[in-house]
Amino acid sequence: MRRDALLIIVMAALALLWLGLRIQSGQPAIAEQISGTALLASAPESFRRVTGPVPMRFPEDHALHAGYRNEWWYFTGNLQGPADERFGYQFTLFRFALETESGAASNADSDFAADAVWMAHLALSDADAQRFYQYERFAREALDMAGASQTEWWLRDWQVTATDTGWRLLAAGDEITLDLALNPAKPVVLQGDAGYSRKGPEPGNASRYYSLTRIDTHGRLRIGSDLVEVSGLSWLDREWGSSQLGEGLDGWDWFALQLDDGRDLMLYRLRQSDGEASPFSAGALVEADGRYRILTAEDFRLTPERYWRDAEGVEWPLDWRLELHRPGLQLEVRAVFDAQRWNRSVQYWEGMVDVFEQGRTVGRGYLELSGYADAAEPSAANRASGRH
Amino acid sequence: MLARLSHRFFRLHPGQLILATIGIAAGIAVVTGVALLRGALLDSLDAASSRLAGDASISIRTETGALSVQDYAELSRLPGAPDWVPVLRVPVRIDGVRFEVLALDPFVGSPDPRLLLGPGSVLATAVDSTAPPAVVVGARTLDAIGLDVDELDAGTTLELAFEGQTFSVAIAAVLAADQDLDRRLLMDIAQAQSLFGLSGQVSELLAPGHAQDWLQAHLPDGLVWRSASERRDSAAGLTAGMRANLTAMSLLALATGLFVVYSVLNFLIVQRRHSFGMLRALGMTHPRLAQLLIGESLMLAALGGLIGLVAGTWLADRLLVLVAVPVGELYGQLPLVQSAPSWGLYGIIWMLGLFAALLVTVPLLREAMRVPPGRLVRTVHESGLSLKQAGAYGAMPMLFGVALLLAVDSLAAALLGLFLFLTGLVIMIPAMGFGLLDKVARRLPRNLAGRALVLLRSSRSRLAPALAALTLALALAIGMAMMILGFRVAVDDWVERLLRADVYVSADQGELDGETIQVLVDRPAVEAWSGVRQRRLVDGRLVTAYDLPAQAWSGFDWVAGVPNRDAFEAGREALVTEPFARNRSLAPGDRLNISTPAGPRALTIGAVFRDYSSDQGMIAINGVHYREWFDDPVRDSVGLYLNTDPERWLEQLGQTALAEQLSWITPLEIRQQSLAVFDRTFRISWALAVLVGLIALIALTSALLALGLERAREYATLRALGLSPKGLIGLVMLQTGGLTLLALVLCLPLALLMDMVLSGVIQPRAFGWSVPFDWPPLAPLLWTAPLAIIAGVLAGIYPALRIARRPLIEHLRAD
Repeated sequence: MRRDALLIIVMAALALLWLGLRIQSGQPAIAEQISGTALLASAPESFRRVTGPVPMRFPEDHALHAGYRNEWWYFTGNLQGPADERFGYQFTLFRFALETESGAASNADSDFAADAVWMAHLALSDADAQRFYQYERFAREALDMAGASQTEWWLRDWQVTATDTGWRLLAAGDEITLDLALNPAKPVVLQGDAGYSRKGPEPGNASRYYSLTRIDTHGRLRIGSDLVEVSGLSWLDREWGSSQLGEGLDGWDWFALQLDDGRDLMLYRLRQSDGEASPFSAGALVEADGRYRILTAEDFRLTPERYWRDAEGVEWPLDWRLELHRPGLQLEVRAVFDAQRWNRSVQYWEGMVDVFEQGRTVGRGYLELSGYADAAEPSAANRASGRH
Repeated sequence: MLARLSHRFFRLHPGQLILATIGIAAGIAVVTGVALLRGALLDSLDAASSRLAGDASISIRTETGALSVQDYAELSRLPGAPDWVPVLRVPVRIDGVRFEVLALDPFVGSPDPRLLLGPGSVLATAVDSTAPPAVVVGARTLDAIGLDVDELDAGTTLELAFEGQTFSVAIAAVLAADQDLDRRLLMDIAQAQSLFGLSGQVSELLAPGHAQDWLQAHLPDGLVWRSASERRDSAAGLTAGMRANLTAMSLLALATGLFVVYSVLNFLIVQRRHSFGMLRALGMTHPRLAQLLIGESLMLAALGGLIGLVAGTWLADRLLVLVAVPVGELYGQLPLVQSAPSWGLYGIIWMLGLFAALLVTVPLLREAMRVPPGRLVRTVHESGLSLKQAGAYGAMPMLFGVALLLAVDSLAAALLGLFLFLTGLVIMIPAMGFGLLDKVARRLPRNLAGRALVLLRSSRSRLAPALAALTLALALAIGMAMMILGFRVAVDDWVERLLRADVYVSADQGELDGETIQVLVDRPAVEAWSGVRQRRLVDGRLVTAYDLPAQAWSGFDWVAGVPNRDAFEAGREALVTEPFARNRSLAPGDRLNISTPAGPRALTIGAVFRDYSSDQGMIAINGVHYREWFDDPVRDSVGLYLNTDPERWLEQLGQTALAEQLSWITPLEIRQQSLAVFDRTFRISWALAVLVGLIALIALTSALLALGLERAREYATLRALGLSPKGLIGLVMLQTGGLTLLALVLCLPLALLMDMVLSGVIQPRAFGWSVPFDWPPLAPLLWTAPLAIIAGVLAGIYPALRIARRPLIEHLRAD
């Protein structure tokens, strides 16, 4: 009897298994996400490369630079409402050029044929509610869907237009709207060697990079149906190049800090696969009057102090100890709140931070962490890298 | 202990176990198959749009069809505009079978970026514009094309036929199984525009559901939007008639399956009457006995149900192959490649099986309870309904069914009415059948054949369910075949009458312009010509614009109203097809509004004409006015009325330069093609009828097994009196053959009735068209009768062998 019972159970189990497999067979399979690091690591030979300093001119260099693999217009900022509510925002336009060799293209006759693809990221951090709103858009560089001239940078109706004193930024998602007037309070900072920013040992492992580190900002936010008047400071990073990241890099940790004493500090630490900081890590210290000094990897030291584990188990270093050797500066950088992580096509953490010196608030800023979600065993490698 | 008792019994009689399991499995299989098939026809309708823009996606189109790329660009840059998903849909054929190229911009938002981004996606093909045009297909679509994933290599290409030309595309990647994109080939929109020469246009824009408010406030004139549910409803409406018929068939199959379960369980009880008697003598109480039987039923139903689910899923995929082509051709819909089951659906059907088993066990319990303790008898008290009783019980549901059929004008009411009517008949069939048998038996000679039938007569309660199931199944199969054949004749007549011209000409690519038509008709051989242009309005209604000479006018078969040709040509009146009028409850004299790019137009319905080309129906308007209102000067085809032999005329045309761009077809060829489509459409009905018949034969076999066991003593007596084992086998086979014959006789009036109801009531309600009355074709009866009798005789083999092999003495001693 037991043998027969077993037989029946096996038959039933087989039938159930078959039915289960059959149900499963129609479900969509999981595909991969884009690795942000990979996007910047390689480019075919046909693209132009950044191999040395060339003079920059404005407003000409505000427009897009054809022929390079990638380019971005990157705004971040800390804002404050009338009742001291705190907000952070990010608005970024990325341009990725496609491989097109004239003539042979199989889409030449189409209105959608494009030389480049644009991606835009819009995020708002509501510090009091600890909410992070994120919106992503793509468009081809066709049909006027996206572009950047000297006076206008846009992706569909998300746009930055030049005004007499700076720019106006207008962008909205389902739940939020940003309408901000942006007026630079300091002149342009040319990063690296007059804008030639090396990021690896190979020729071409470099980008053109300039920043506007302090931009007076005021305007209005909409969150849901609430409108809030806001003001604060923004930061603009502009960068373009092809294959700027050298081999063996896992990602980077990028800091843009605006101190209450009028100084601004930009630092990035390129993380090698072995957990060490790359010797090409760099930064800039901008004085209140706009004069600035370029920092190299030897000038500073960044140490993760606290990790946040997200829902997917990825650990992000959100609190840091920052030591600047010349002038001697010991700062603590802490995320205003943890959940400011992008989980669209590209996975990264980009959010508002506070800056402390001996427990006292001395500034605000933005922190960007990249490459953590791409690593196979993120937490182990990250922790190791934090202890060097 | 109960489990051990059951186990011991089934171990000794594995045949019964198998038969019972098959019976339950067969019923469940048909129900599962049809339920999954219905889903496959429905689910695919909008799945692709849902994947691209969410379940509640809104579709934007223009009044006239395609949207210009400039419209899209402007809409995109409007402040607050939603994330549009531009879609270019290109209907293509691969080896004559319909597929759809779904051309997308992989860079614009989609709720499912996995579709578009990442390695092996549309993105990859879009990024590399130097590569030849390529598509991304799902593994299941590849299967439907007839390619094997493992055999693909970089050089594999697909040949896509579109508007008379063939385009070659590479296969860039194969998506893992993905039912939402069945029969769709994903392609980059830039490549598709370039390849198919469709630059400047997109088919539609999809927007996420939450954009509704914005659309209401901002959508420019000339653009119209339809919500997902509106699109789904209208698409579901297309196949509603077909699905309702399928459902009715599956319920009939389940009913027949229940008869099988009943007769198998009945048989199990008969066989064990002896041991029940023993158990009762040993002190087993009634509740314990009931527990034993219910437990066995549920166990059988549980196992049989699982097997039925597996078989039904397999069945659904086979049936889908049968319907996929007609659904594509008739409704322009692309059904799934494979059915899409879910645990929920499986669970419901499985529970249904358990419930059905329980339902038929209850009446059997009474019989088991009647076994007195200790008596070793196998005879049973005969308790069939008398003809009068049966008439009384059966008349009620029959009357109610007829009332429902006639009084309520809906398809569901008609199907329910038919079901009730059949239920009444099922109650009456055994009484009628055995009444008939009584009359016949009296006149039979006292030889083996006579004896065999008389033996049948005395086991009516055992055989009643099998007889009812068999009669019902035969009536269903024959009645449906009659309906289909009758309908086929009606369609043939209609096509023949409609096609008045001598030859029909269309362009290889798209449409005929006025200039080409002028060249065509400006010949002495052409006496007159007609033109046709069809267009789907934004609301989904189909408009046909006719330019008709007097000769063509007589091709219409008017169903209602008196057509006024002058009013039609003056643009005051429209003509509508019968399905159109019926679906919308319209009659001649009613007003009809159509929206045109030149503004709304109101027309009076002049008359209703017979049409079997679309069960959605269409509006016919005069060509002159159509061209004015829709600014659409071309025609799809023209019919030429010649004063010479068409062959010769075609020969002449063949020598001109024009011939290369045109294709022509004669009325005879159109007729043949129409009938071929018709036959494909009804293949599934045939398949289901055969299935129901098979289930009925299983019922017959198990009923005869029960009979054989019950009559063991009589058979043993016959053997003892000198009947050889061969003779006994002949006797049993005579009985099964005789029962089948009886069922055939009984089913004849039923089949005629079924034909009448299907043609006269169900067809008009399901599809909107009526079928002119004609005498039912007898061919189905002529095919079915010999087949059924052969099958019936064969069904007797197993019981006959079992009975003949049993030792005599034991059974002779039994009383």
